[in-house]
Amino acid sequence: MRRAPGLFSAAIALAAIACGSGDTETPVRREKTAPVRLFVDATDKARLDFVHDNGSTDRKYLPEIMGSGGSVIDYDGDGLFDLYLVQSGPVPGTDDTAPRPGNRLFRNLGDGTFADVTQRTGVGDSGYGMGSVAADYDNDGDTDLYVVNYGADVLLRNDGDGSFSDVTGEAGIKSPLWGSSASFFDSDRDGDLDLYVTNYLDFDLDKHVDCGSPSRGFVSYCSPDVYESVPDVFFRNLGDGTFEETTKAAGFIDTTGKGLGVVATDLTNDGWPDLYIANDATPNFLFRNLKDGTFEEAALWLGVGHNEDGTTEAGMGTSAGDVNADGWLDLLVTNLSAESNALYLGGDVFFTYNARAAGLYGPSYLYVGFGNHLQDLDNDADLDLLVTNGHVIDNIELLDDSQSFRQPTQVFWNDGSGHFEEVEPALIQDLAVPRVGRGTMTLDLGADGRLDAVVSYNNDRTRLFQNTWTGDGNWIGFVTGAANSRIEVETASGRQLKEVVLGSSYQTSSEPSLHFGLGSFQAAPKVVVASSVIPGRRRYLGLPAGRYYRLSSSDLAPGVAADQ
Amino acid sequence: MKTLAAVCLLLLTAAPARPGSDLEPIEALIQQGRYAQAEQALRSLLAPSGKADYLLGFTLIQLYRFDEAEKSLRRSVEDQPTSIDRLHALAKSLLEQSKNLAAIEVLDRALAVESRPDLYFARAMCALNAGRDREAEKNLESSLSGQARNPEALYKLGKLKLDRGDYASAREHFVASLEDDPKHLEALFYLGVTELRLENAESSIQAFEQVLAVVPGHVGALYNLVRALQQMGRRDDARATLERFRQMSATQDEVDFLQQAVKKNPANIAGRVSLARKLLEVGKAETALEQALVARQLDPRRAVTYRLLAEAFGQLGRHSDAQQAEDFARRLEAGS
Repeated sequence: MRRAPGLFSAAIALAAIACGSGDTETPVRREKTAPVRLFVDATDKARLDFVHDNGSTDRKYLPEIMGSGGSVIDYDGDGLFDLYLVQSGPVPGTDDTAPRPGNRLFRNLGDGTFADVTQRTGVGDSGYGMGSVAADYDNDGDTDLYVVNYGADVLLRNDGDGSFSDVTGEAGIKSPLWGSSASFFDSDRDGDLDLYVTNYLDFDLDKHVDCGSPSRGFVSYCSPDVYESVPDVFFRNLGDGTFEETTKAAGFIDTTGKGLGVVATDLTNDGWPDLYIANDATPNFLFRNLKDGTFEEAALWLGVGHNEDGTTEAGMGTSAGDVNADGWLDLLVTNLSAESNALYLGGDVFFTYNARAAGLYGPSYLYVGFGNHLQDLDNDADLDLLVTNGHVIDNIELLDDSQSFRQPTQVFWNDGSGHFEEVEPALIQDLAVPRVGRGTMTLDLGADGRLDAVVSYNNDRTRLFQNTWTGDGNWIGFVTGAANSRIEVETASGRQLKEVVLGSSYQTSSEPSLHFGLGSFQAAPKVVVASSVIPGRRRYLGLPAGRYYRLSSSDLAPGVAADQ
Repeated sequence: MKTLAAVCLLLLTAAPARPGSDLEPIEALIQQGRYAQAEQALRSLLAPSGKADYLLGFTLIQLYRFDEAEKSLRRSVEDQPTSIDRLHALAKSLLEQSKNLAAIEVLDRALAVESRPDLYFARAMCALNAGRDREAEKNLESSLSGQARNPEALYKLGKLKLDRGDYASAREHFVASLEDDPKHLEALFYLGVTELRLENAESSIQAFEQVLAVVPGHVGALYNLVRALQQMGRRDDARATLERFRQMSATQDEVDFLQQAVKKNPANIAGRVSLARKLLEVGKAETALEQALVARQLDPRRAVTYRLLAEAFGQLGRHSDAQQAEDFARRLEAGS
């Protein structure tokens, strides 16, 4: 299904008719025992033939095991979401004569299949890739790409004619360190997107250390403790298609973080986007937006830098979502095995570490988590959790017989209160096949309101998992690329809150649309929108379920919305 | 959650004696802690036997050569497949190599012969390491049904309940553990964490302050004390405690540095000793114990290592082990 603007306008008009009539049904919580499969592997059917190459060597250079990710992007504005997948290849310096495979862009043909359009679009950057993020940084109406590399990052401007240009230098981007993830957000609410890039370790071939157990005759990938951190970098958008690097001036002065994941979202409910950084083996950062173009690091005070024991963990990926429907965004961080994934509940004063009470501690203890998404996967009006796993030590079985290199992706149902229960692997079959998971993206390929997942596996084929949930559950969606647009959907059973983030999880950016499960409601009784594309806070009543609405001022008919 | 409890119990307990055995002189060496000589004597035996293999395996465990110990103990188990002692020792050698699943299998064989609380406890430790929480819980309950007043088992069960978010039950077990061993620092710390989650901020503060009275730099206690003070609205106190936490985190930086040093050079005894000391300063007794044990393996004649072992055992509430380590240190200093 194509998400054309006309459809959305029509839908909004329907909303006007239904205004005030939606909140009449009694919600019913569904039993989640339906004998159906939640995900099936649709990779072959979709003709996605991307295979990640990590360039592995016997020396086990650390970058080999850390990638990669990619982005969901509608690069040609046809209403269909395409896939940009990031490649690695030989670690620079190991074999410079080998051909470098390069990133690839797959165009969505609208019939469930994709076609490789890398060459004609010019997006095949051949740096040693880690991740990417898609966003319209120059406000020209099309979506651009930022590629995060082990080495110099690349900014690819969408020229609006189906091709991209490398504008890294002319845009003032200089980010040569080992990057991992990036996020675009409007830090100063001046109408253009600024950029934060997490950088990881000070590694090159000369600094490589042989780790493992030489006495037992094997080498392993090293712990990040072996290498020094390198600073993250922040670029302020000057509004003319260029950026200025203002990392220190903006308050990002702590250089001790070994950054892997980032999410930019309003964690303090003050209308300004904050930044949360998942750091590996060093305290995580929360940069609170001071609303004057600067930020203040406050993770320790707010209780999101460490776990409940006061210990730092191996932060990999991170995402935000209101898991307990209290109107505050919560934070999920994936960590190493023998740790657990962390869940920090947001609140009006501090965060509360809640992995234990949320049921996430034990089920994540054996796994090394990377990509993670808080999304309503069965449309029952709460945020479920998808976490992809895969160890960072490829011979971990030699060190611990209860662990494995290849690990299953996990899905957790939310019971509506923020307590999670792991879904039986039989229900997610293909997704639960043990592999070495890294980046994950969510998107609704069929525009059917069921969120699909793309999982990138280290040194393996990237796979598309189609959501085939057949249980009941209505939904409503909102399409916008406007960073940090915030939507609240209220029904008799509670309030859901979501915000558009451009870059989160691990080395990826997902479809920027906001999707809400509605359970048994046929319409969203009340929707409140706060977005830069619509002045003020707007309220919509009785929007019919089962469709996407585009957020743009031109689509809003007079009388549909009432200022709150 | 990795634990060295099982093997550490072996470290400072007496070796099995077999009166009248022709291996008696070697057993005497083991009893005296003269493991290097015991190993030499066992290896020079003209007629190796299942029992000699067992003693050699036992000795090698004391010398922290677990892979070699495993080989000897496997031979000894072939000789006597239903010997609980041999199976138990084999399981311990496996556990120390993180062969948790293999250790579980061996312990199941031992438990089929005899249901003993110590075997259930050892199995629980393996199950915990392997992420099999339900099994661990059952094993701990079985262990406690045979030995109700085991503070370590009560603590581990409390920790399991805490990790599951069952705070009321966790508190019950931590309190019971502390009744039997009021100096069990880990039980006290997690009691504080539990009280905090139950929104009993004052009780949690009390627990953390008791922990800090023993280990002033306990980062976990400082961190949670901040949270408790915040919960009570005592923001100034919370900020002051936060500063203390930050200072101890600086010690954590030293820990990180030393960890790098020993990773790069695993035979760096001085580095391991320093690392163990720093870890004790920030209240990470279990990791400190691990480092001190490796330092001891690398050089068993350093009194300073035994002092660190004593302190680590003490923080973990294992006071008889602590006392024995202290005695060992004194004997070394006296040149005996």
